[in-house]
Amino acid sequence: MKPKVLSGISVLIVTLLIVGAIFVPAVSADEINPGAIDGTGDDGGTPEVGVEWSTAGGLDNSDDSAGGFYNTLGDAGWTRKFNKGDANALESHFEYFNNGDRNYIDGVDIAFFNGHGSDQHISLGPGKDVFFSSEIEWGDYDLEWIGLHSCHSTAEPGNFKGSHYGLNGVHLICGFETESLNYAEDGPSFAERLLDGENVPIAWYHAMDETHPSDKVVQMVAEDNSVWNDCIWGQGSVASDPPVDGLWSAWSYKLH
Amino acid sequence: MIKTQVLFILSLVLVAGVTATAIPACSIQDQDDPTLPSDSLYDTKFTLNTALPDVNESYVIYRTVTPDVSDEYVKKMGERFDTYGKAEKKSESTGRIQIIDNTGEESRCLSVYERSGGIVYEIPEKAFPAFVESQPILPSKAEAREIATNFLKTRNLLPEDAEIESVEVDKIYKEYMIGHEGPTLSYNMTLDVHYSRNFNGIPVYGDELSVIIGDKGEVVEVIKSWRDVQPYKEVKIKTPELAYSDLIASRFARPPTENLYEKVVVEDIHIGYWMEPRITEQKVVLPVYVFSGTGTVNGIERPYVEFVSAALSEEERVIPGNSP
Repeated sequence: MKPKVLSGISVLIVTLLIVGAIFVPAVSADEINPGAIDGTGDDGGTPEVGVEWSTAGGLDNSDDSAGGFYNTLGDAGWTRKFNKGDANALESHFEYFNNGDRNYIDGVDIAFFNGHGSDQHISLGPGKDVFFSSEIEWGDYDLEWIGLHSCHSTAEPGNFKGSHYGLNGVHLICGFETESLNYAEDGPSFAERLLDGENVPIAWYHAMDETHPSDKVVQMVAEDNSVWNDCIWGQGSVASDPPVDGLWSAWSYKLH
Repeated sequence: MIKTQVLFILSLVLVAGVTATAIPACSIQDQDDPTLPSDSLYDTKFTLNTALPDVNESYVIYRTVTPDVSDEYVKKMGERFDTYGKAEKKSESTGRIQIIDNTGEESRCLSVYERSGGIVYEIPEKAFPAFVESQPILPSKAEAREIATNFLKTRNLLPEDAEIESVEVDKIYKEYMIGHEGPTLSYNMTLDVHYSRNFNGIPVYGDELSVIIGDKGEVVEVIKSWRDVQPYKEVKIKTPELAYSDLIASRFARPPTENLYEKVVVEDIHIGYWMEPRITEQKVVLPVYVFSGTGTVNGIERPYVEFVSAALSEEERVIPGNSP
């Protein structure tokens, strides 16, 4: 009897291994960064920063801009959670499927992306697109603020209330209404201003205004205007997570 | 034996169940709208829909004259805006020095950029309100021109060659609701009176002079990054053909746009001068070719403008008998 029972258990173990082989790639194909899982994933705890970038299509400054943002906050005591670029920048880091975003974009307090994009999506590289209206749900886990440094990224605020709500607890999505230019200085300058106590949307405007000419426009999108005066953690007040509903606000600021 | 068979069947059911759960999730994750961008859009395609311009063989280049931006200089500049306080270096990377004056009813802020002498003056509460409950009372365009010009003149900040290029809405607050096309509420909060200039009839791009006017005609923000210049020398420039090939090869005078152009139709080409942003040190002002027209992104046509340096290399640009 005993050998037969063992044989049955062996079959079960083998089966579970097969299950594991099928299931594990679905959640960890994207080279999980151990640091992305540890620490304070949800709201609260040590503030964390994460950045992603793409230099595809000649955007040679994306890494310096995003890296500068990352290290400026990191040097000021923020937990550096992830810095993923080009081949390591993956759609699953941004998208809600399988809660993949909780280990990356929605697993930090502030995030920054630099690369190509449109009013519909950001591009992490050839064939790697993240669509705003159907693939993101930011803020239900941790994310408070995100800068999308790509062309037209916030030109259509309604895309963040599409079939899925990108505005899903996140306080502010800062981006461009018009096209943007690939300046290396933008990321670090944005971070410096945040650390100097400027409100998040005004810091975004100021940093982009320093480099972009007068035919460019930034647009900041939020669930409501209660979050306008948000400073980053440790630099001033932060509003409570806004209730997620069918209303939202946007501020369009011309650059000079 | 029966127990083993039962376990085996249960295991198969488990495998089938988990596979059915996992595989659709993977396929959804990888499924993007096929009508939108992918690899092919990184190949920008240009069409020239205008004749290449006739240009001179040589153009004057200019030297910039940048002030010594000391703390004392910043304080003196602050006096022009009734903004007083300690000048403080805020950023090494951008060279920004700032005075924040909290002594009045509303705070005032002046930033001066040490590498260019550029200034930004603001009344933050009025320039960047969280929201407005009603449409601010903004001046007419004609009134805005007068307000802006008077404001600059009385502070000795209006260069003789400044011309008003445009008066446009500057900042807008909007509210939206699911099910409504466009915003349910939209307030124009400020107007931008924007100035431009030219050097000997050739337009200058990249530097800014703007006066931002808010509620009841109050000036709430000024941005001025014009560098003073002096003629330096005349140099030979690239041919339009060479400049156009540089455009196609993405050799621009500034960083590239983060747009995914499917195609670009160039409808105008002319010579201009290029000024760097206020955070940048610039010693010499060089001519550029300005290419403008229409760019298509995701099937949507948008205005296109790009700048290509007209300057040849140091050796190539020298005109015999005209060395510095």
